[in-house]
Amino acid sequence: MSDDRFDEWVREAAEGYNHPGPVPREAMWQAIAAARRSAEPSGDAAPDHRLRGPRTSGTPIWRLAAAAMLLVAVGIGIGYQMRDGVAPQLATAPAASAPSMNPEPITGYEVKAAEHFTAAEMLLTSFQATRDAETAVAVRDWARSLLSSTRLLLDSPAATDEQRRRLLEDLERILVQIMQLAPDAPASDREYLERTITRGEVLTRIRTSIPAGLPSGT
Amino acid sequence: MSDSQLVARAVAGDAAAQRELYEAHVDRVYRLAYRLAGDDELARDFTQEAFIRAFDRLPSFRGDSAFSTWLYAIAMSVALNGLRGVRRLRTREVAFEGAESLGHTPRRADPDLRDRLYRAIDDLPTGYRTVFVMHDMEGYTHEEIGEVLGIQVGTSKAQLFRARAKLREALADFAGAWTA
Repeated sequence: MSDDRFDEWVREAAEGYNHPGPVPREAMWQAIAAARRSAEPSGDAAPDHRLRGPRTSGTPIWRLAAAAMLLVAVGIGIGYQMRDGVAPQLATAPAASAPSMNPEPITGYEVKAAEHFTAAEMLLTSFQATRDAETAVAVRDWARSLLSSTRLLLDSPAATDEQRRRLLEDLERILVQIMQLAPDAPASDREYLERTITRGEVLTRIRTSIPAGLPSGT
Repeated sequence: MSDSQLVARAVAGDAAAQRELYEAHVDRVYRLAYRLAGDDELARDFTQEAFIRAFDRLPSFRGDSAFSTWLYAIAMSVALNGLRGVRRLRTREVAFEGAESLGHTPRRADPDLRDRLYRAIDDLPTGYRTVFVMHDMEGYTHEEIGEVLGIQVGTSKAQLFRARAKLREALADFAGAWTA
């Protein structure tokens, strides 16, 4: 076997590896221009939480964290109960008053998913609103606990809905990044993460994913 | 107009100069991002983020290196950090697919040598894969790679050597096929 021939062959054969198509220059430029425009007037604060008021500033984050933990625990309990696919009465009751757009009975997994998304919404809003080191640690711990339940949901029938699965995957990615964000990380890393949340419209998708008749937490 | 002139104009707020810088470098940034990510959406995301960061930080660009080197360093940082987040998801998908075929498919029955090569590239450690992609696929020199990744030229060469060795090892059961 000749190493040179192998290297030559690899260079040639690898040309097809992740071969990029045409570069979407204009679309990317528009996105860059839009992102930079949107960053200008509001400084470094995310516009989303400004609209939502000061709910998450100061100590309430601990109460939110406790609520999220409780939701996770309850959700996991429901998940175990629902292993055989039978919905508990608690879960089916709101279905009667749900909008006609969703005639299917609401399952325990959907209840769990809605609760989970409510907690995730609180977490992401808190993440955007708080910058001090102490709360950053709390948010990281909170993200860790939500990550576990996100993964549980991803492996459950709740993830059979394509839209919900994508949202859970995006959420998982964001939670990992929040956990990995060091307290002394450069501001640009945090801004990048905030832009990921904004650009992926994660909060909007979360809010619209919570069916009417289920607790939204907002 | 040179990059340094464009940078000076862009720092002064000239939007046309920013656009020219973008047009001059976007292809290479996107290509590299796509090679590493293997996904158009991620490649777009990384490319956009790289330019957003670069334009934001342009006033701090001192010209110690070429603008392109500085930009590619930002792009690589964005892409490698972003890929860390998605790697876990991919690992799970691959593990799931692998579990289905465990014990069923003899290694030699793998139909396509190129597919095996692509998978072997995917499996390279990040450092090896990055250098391999930049050098063997995108034509960067070891000096450029060193500057962009912030590593020694010797390290770049060593990582490329090890990457090729790992690929050779991964394709050992096809020994000689590439000489045909």
